[in-house]
Amino acid sequence: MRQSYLRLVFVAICIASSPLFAVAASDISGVVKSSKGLEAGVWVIAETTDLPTKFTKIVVTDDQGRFLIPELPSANYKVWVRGYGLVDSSKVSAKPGASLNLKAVIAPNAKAAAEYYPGMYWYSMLEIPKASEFPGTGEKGNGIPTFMKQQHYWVDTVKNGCQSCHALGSKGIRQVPEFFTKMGNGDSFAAWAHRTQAGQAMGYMALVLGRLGPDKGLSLYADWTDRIAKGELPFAKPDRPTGLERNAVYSMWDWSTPKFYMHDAMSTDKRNPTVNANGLIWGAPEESTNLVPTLDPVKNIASSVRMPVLDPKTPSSTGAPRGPSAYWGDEPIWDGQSSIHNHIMDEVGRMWFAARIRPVPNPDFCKAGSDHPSAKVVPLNESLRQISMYDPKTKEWALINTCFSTHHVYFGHDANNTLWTSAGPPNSGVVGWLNTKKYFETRDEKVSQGWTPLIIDANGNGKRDEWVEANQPLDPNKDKRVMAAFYGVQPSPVDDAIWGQAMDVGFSRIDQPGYLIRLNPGSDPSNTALVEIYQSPEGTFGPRGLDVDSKGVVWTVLSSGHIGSFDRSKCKGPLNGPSTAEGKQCQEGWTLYRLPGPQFKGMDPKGSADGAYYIWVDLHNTLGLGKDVPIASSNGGEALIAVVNGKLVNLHVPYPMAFFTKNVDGRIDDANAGWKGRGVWTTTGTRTPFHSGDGSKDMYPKVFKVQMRPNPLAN
Amino acid sequence: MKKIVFFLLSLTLWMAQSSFAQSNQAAAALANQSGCMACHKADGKLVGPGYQEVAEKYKDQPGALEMLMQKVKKGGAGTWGRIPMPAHPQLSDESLNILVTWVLKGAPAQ
Repeated sequence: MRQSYLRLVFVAICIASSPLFAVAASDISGVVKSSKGLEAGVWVIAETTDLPTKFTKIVVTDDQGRFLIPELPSANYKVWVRGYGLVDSSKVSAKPGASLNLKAVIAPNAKAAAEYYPGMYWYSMLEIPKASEFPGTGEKGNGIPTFMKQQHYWVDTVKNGCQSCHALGSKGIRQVPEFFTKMGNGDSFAAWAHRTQAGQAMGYMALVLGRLGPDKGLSLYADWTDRIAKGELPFAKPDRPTGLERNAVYSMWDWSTPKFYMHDAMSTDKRNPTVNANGLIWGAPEESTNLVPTLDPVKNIASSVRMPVLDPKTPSSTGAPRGPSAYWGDEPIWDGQSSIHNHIMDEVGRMWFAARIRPVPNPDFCKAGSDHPSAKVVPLNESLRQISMYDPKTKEWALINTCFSTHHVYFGHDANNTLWTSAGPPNSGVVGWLNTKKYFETRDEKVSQGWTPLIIDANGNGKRDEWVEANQPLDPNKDKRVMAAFYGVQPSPVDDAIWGQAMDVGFSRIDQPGYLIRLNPGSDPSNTALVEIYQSPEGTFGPRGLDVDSKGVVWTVLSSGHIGSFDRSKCKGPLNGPSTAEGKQCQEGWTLYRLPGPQFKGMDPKGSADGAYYIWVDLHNTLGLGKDVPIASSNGGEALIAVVNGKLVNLHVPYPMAFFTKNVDGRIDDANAGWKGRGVWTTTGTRTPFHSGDGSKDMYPKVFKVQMRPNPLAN
Repeated sequence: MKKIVFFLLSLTLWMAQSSFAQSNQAAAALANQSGCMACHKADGKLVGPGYQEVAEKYKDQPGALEMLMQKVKKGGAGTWGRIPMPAHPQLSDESLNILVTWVLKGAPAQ
């Protein structure tokens, strides 16, 4: 009897101390407990510097506080717990195969707990000028420029001017370095003025400040950080991950250098995500360097390839005016000429980049008097970025001199393998493309490219006619041009349409709302293309980025704090003719999803303070949440946010703090390996990786891989 | 003879105007290239003061050219509000001279 009792006690102890789920030799598993008991929905982080590049893997505990970190490369790891309501636990040393009992530490107070909140919980404390303060009355009035006509112009500028490059509420931003405070002789306004002049982005920072009204903008930012310095805390708290959110596995690798920053990471051909299985991940370092970073995620090796330019006089960020940096002093840390903004992989693994290869003035064949068919329609004098292509097999570059500017690039689904491009800002007023089939046949960039203005069929006769310009009144006998260019671009997988999206005032800096734009190329696009424009519903604003699902539904993110879908097949009214010239038709086509988290005080609670840089549709279920699931890059939530069956799944990346990404790319490495053979890839997208974590010159940009398991303990 | 003198005078005037226009265009291009126009415009405040206001303030003031060249190079604060002018040590003395001379003319485009 006594022996049986002891055996029972032994078994009970074993049950209590072991995870009781299948564990492989490459896993680290265990249980997380705090003084309050088992901790569900907290993150367990394992990190090693033993591999060729620093590697980290993160999982979430299940409802019993259990965790399993799967498929770890053989190495020595430091393992610790992070979670809402906690402060970081002590780091425990472990190797794959270990089973750990981790002791989570309850946050001693609200301030300590808030250090782990996503940035939006902090920047939602920023005061937004009241609606009654708009339109602005200028420098001698309320400090808000007169062209700021409505409150949402201001919010859109904060999100698409400030937040589009910076993880706004992160510790590195909400705390003003002593360096700037000293420069400003203790005046926080002056400290912010010096801060916005630091580094080689000074010119762009000034541009955005000029839009906000420099004195008003700096005053409000200084007031925000002053209140935080005095102890004010976020007025809202985030929830711990639940449901599907606990099934996520986040892997991350350092790449490039702490001085450089990334815009995007690419892994495969979006049309066929089995291309380049297990191959290199490619980065786009924008203004920071000509060195295109690569990551071998199998061997954990980071490397780079140098992109050439066509003309040595290609502008460089080296000479950009700059003020001293709190991190880098007077050192010009960026030396990029190629301005690689975005890239895409083709069907055989070649990389295509939106990149600068020469100075701004265009060659003669782009200009008036040229016999180029597109130049005859709209001559172009300038291009800010062109196209470059790298073939990893031959290690050769092709520099393709386009007349139009490029910003994002995506392949069509047509036989010509057309590469459709966006231009970013609206100034060019055209959409450009490269017929890559013809390019490979001829290697002639002139005959392989084309562009068209964006012309609305305003007279409703179903064909392109003479047009009036965007600033001219409608003419019943003519069509009408919209002075926009694409920012987001995506060829539809279901028909010939090319969908684009034009930015709202905060980015475009013209008094015109943001649009979704459907371009129907016709038989001779330079002469036949017609567009339809669509504004988002009343109360929302600021589309940024778009993608199209396999049913032809368009997805975008809005700076009003929403994910929006637009289904053109639901439209009831006419889609051409004079009533469509402003894009207010077909409100019935829209469905909105509010991004999670708090709203700025005094603003419509139907929106959110969160802002997302872009959205990407998982056409092939590479993540494991289903085919056609859209994934928004939530910059305020420091997360990827997926829409699954109408509900939002918030995949917050908790480490390092200030996860900030601009877009994702999904790849299937092994279609037969279940969740292990799939994942979406992204990278650190902030221009200042050194603001991440606690703020440091040692913060590398990272490659992130996100995978979804069937449950939190799957391996 | 009078016609020839008139022609020569006109030609000289045209060449001088053309030369001024070219130097103004070159200065404007240098201002763009050097990032000045991110914070300034000819007429009215952007982040810093408008160049026409600067020209008016320092009109006929001896030593204004040299003083402003130093201010652009080393930075300054307090003259035009609370936002400081950052230092521009990368600009050569020749570039500073071209830029400030142009600013003191009110930043003409032509």
